[in-house]
Amino acid sequence: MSISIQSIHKTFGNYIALDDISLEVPNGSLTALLGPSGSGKTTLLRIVAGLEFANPGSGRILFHGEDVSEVPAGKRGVGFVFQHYALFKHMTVAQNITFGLDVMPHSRRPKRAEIRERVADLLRLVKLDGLEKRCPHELSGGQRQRVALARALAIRPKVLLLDEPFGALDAQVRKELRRWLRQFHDEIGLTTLFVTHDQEEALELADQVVVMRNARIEQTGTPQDIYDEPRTAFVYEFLGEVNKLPDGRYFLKITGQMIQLNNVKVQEGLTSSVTIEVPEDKFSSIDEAIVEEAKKSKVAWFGRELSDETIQAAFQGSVTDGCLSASLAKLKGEVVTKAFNNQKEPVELSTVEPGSQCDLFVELSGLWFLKKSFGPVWRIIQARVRGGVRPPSFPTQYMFEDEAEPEEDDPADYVD
Amino acid sequence: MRPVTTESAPVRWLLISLAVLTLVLFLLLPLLAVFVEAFRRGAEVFFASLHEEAALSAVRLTLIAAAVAVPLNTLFGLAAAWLVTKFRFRGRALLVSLIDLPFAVSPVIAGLVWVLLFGARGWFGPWLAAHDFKIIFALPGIIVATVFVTFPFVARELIPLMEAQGSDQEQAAVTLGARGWQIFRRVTLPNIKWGLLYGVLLCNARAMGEFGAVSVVSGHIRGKTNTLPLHIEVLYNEYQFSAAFACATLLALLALVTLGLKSAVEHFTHHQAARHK
Repeated sequence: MSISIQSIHKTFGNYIALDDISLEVPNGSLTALLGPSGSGKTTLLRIVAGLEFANPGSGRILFHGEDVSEVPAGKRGVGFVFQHYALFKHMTVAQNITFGLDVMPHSRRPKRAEIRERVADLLRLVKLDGLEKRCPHELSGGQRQRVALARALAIRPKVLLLDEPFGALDAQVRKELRRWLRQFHDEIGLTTLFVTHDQEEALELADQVVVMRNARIEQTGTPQDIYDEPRTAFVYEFLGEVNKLPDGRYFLKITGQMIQLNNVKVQEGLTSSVTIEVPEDKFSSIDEAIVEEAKKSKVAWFGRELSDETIQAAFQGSVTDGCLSASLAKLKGEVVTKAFNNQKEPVELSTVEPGSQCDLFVELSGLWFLKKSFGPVWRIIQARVRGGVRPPSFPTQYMFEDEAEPEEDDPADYVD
Repeated sequence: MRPVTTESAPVRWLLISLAVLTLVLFLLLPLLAVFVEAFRRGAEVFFASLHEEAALSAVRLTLIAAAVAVPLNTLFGLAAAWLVTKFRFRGRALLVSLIDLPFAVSPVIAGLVWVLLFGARGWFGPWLAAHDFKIIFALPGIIVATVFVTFPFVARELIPLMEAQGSDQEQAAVTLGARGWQIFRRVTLPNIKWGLLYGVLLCNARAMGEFGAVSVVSGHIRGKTNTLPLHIEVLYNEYQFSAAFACATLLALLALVTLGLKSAVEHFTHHQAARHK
């Protein structure tokens, strides 16, 4: 059952909760509404459920082509799972699950035997067999969440809606349930829409991620698309771990020391870099520190493994007499470098003229660094502080001694 | 080492002694005095006072007033609490304040307003006289006054309870296809049952014990419009002390029963709250 959200506008008095939202949720997909609090994601979910209604005349909600905008929640055939489960405290697990069936009009209600069977099936599905007679207060958080899910599924909904399903659970349980939910979704194939503020959760679970902010949709796409090509600075920052303070100042954290950076230019529409200017006097002590820091961090692939920060730093050194500067010279022997000139053509390091600009690649402990040389003044650190790095597009083949030709990846490709 | 949140032993004993002293002085002694005075002239007089025609009539009247007021106000309280806690609408705050009105108003005024409305020279007086329907100085007046003063009890008990419980469970029930009455019966009611009982208990205690408002509207017609509290006052004014106290023991017993049931409810509420943590 696909969901089509068309031009939904919702205000509470003067407050705009949803500003002309349109969205397609394909049949059978698992879609995440991701955003900070106040972005409107929960309101949108509740409007899809029928617990709230959009401003009159503002838009439509279609389930598989059928207009359900005016249909009340009870008749829409949605299964809703609340953040705090909303289980019926005075009923057993079995009674909770059968509630939707018990309140059905006699004509539509399945026979008692069938109801019992459905309950047993559902309990097996959510791995809570044998707990029919328990009461909610006798269950753990994760178990309660699964009962809530089973209860929502008992009425055979066309669409499953989850409001921050794992928000109230601790980290370990959250991770387990996340994995379980994905498997579960793959098994039953029900169109699912869930709300979360946790980007890791959204990127890991969803087929389609909808990033929302301030009552608008910022970007929609697969997790890979959104991560690789964030369309706005907000999406980029929300998904990554940009070193930005809430008041807008950027900083670079080196071995525990915070260095405030001025004149930060964030380039919108670009892929993934922030250009930061560092005050000159901060520099001389930095090189070693950055190297140390880089040594400590691991390369990780977002979503697959635990992500640590990877600082891929590029900074300008001075090239004097055709040799690497003092700092680089220190590293000589440990690192190998390859140089490329302005035209992205490989050049011999020894032929580089002092004060000229070239790209230098430095490899250190398996990580590659780009050092741009602009002359005698340290000017810019190009820092991509993110939860991941893409090894394939990184130049890994360039060895100073080797003179090996680049194989498939041109390092110029990844430089913006 | 004692826990940080308690006082030292001497302070604790002092506070406990003070509390016990207050309890004894203001509660136990008067209660004891009622029973002592009631039996001062012997058990025979005691039982005779209770069997007297006027006394029986007073008891009957009290029971009728309570039998009408309590269910009415329970229904009203449930409806008001449901409305106020599950819905947001303009004037909600005003409604909540109005519900508390009978509490704020002096019982004498609470009775007087009805006299002003329905009395012989009241707004509806002539109309009522024309239709030969008596409210003031008759049973309907007593009932009206009792309903008015016990108005808020159930609502005041339920509103904070239902606010605290939130409407999540009701919303869940909505998404599962339940309709209004089903939601109320299956979801809301079981969650509020102890609070409801508590409110009903208090409502009943006040309905049976109300004096001021009923006194103004009843007219004190012996055997016809005297509730038990009024009858006690009449007896006392006629210097029939033992009889007065004998009837007072009935009210005292009512108080004791109410307190007992109240404790039981509190016990079950804590039990339920602890279970649901």
